[in-house]
Amino acid sequence: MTYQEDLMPGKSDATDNDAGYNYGYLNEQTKRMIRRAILKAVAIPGYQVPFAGREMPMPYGWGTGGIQLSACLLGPNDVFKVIDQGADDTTNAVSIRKFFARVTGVETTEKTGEATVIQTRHRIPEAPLQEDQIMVYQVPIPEPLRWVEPRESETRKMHALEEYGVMHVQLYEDIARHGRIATNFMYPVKVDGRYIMCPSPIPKFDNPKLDMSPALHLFGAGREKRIYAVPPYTDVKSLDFEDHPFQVESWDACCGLCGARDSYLDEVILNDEGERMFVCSDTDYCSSRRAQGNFGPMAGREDVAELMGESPQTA
Amino acid sequence: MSIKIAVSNLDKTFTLHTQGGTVINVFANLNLEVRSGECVALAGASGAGKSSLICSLYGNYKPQSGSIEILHDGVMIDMVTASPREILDIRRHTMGYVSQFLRVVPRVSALDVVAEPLLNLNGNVDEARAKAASLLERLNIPSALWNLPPATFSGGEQQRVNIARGFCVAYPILLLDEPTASLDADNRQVVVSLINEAKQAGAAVVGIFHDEEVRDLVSDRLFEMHSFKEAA
Amino acid sequence: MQTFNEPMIHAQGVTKYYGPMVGCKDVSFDLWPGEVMGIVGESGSGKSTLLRCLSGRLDPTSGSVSYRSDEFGDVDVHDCSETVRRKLLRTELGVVHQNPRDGLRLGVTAGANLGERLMSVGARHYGNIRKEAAKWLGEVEIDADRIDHFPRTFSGGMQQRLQIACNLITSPRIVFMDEPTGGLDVSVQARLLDLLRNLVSRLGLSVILVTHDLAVARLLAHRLMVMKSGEVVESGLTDQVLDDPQHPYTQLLVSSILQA
Repeated sequence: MTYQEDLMPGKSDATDNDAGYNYGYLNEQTKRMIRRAILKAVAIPGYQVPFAGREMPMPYGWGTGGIQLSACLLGPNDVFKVIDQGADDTTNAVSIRKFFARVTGVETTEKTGEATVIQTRHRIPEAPLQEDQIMVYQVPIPEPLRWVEPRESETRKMHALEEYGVMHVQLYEDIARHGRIATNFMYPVKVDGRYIMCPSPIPKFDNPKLDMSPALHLFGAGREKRIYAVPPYTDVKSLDFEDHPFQVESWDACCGLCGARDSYLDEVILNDEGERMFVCSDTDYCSSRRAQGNFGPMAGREDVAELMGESPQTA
Repeated sequence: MSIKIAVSNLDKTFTLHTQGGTVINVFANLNLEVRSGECVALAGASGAGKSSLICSLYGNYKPQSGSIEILHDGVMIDMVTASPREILDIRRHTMGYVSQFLRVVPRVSALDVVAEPLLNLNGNVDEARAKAASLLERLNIPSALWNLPPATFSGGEQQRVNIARGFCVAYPILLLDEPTASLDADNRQVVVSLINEAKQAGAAVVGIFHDEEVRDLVSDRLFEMHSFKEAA
Repeated sequence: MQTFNEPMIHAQGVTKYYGPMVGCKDVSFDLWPGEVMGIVGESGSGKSTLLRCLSGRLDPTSGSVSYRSDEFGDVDVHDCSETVRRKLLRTELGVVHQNPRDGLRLGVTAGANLGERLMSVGARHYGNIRKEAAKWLGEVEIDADRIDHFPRTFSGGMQQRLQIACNLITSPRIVFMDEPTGGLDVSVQARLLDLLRNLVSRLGLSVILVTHDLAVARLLAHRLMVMKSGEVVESGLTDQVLDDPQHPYTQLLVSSILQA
């Protein structure tokens, strides 16, 4: 990433830009403050760095933390991808992508492999990440200890003193109630053998992708004003018990469209008869597979054409 | 025979601060020696300070001056100046006390009440319970009662449980405060034998026995106590 | 049961002022292994302030408190790192609050409350944690099938017993208790007292027990400290202090109760 350009506002290519705003929407002082917080977060993997979060033109809970990070990261040469629930074409993903196209003029993409910055809320793409990629996560509740300890003063102390016994209380409760660890999202991890971290609302299916990932992962919580990071090639371990080891979700079915068995599947109800199918949650992964000639059992059906990103073939 | 208790120049008064600082003199300049295998019966009218002396010997009352030397673990220790920890150690190993009344602990069975001192001493539950059972049997407590808390027992039964508790450990020193007060003839006889057996085993015994028959059967000598007013 | 030659707690001149107000003043004592010391006195006499200073939760104005720790050796509670102090509070020390809600997590099950202390010292085997939790429920006479129930569905006496079990599960050496039977009705209190008495003697715990109830003190404590206006006015063997009190205040205290 190069930042020279955006340090000189107005100098950047403004063909597509909204001239009424500074490059990247935030002012330069704010970006500098947030970049400092990012550097600190990268230096202390898993540690939640407070930052002076700004009001963004969208409500808290819609990704204000992630947006502020992206606003500070995106240079004119970046290629930006946004996914929401794994999909590039959902309302929120489209809005955020358009927002940055307008305030920075960066190129956007839906292809994981082409993107340099990927903002996400719920998923890590199925395609392996690369060293030159940055993942930006929108985090609703950054504090993994909040569930057992409501006092912020106390949770900070617990992080400082590495008092993490209570984290297992939540997992214990799961097993006691469900016979297994039923936590599927925001599954807590230990980063670099030190800090317990909440990996945003990604499914635990994606937790192993964080471990020793070549990409940089940045997490931004807008409402709680915290930034934290998993630097490239960092040890990320999901918490578990010796007799109930960490396990990711698995499905009996494969993706109905592309036939993938290694991806995270969403269940889709097809009609009033209750017919259903499973499809890849990562739309880019699914369409890439289909482009390579992989098809699932449902791929030929007309009533699922919309799911394949094609317009319904009605007359 | 060796001296087990040596009391010298003991003074005991009570100052009643809640009643305008009234001072009650109990005894002054009291001297007493008790040897191994000997039973000394405290004698004197009611109010002469017999119970106060027993309580002072046990560390329950705090004398104003003088000393009470007790042979504990081969050395003489002064109960008047000993730390609470030392006194508890002496009570655990050396000195037993049978009071007139059983202090009932809720929910604890008669058998365990009796076994407790021995259990605290050696930690062996089976041995302590076996000893407790043999004592309760000797003192004619029906075995149906052993597993019940003694709170509901009759006065005589409670007294016998209390005696059994006092004799559960073979203490080298025994203090008895009217152990036979509410017992029938048969049980009095059991207590007399228990005391005499303890003496034969070398225990030094100090007791208050209002029952003259019992007193004659167990005591080697009388220690006459006069009320302070008489002495003055 | 055993006699050791070093005290578990050594308190020297512990003094706490709240501004010009005396919380407690110049309190010194040694607590030995297996010993139960009661701190008695009326409300406001400084008992709880002293207890908080002793357990490291409140910094005294002057004076020192040290523990003999298995893990850290001699530790000055107010002059050690917070890491050590908090570690001790999870392992070798226990604190039983008067209100069990202060010592329990009401939003998680009884089993998780018990398991938390084990997990906080590194237990990571669910089956073993659960087995240990069930064992300690039994120790405090709570049915094992309540293990997955929330403490808020427990009666006051059960909550208090659960709190005690939560403290004892990591085999602490020293336990601080603040009015452990306060707020319980008489029959529940009797059961709890008997339970405490057995556990304390069987586990050889050193206990500091704050209570205003002399009957509780007599049943549980080996020795007493009587406090008035922040100062210790009399101390000694429990039965000696209660049966032959020397200080005017102790006499008043003893004569004020119906029967100890």
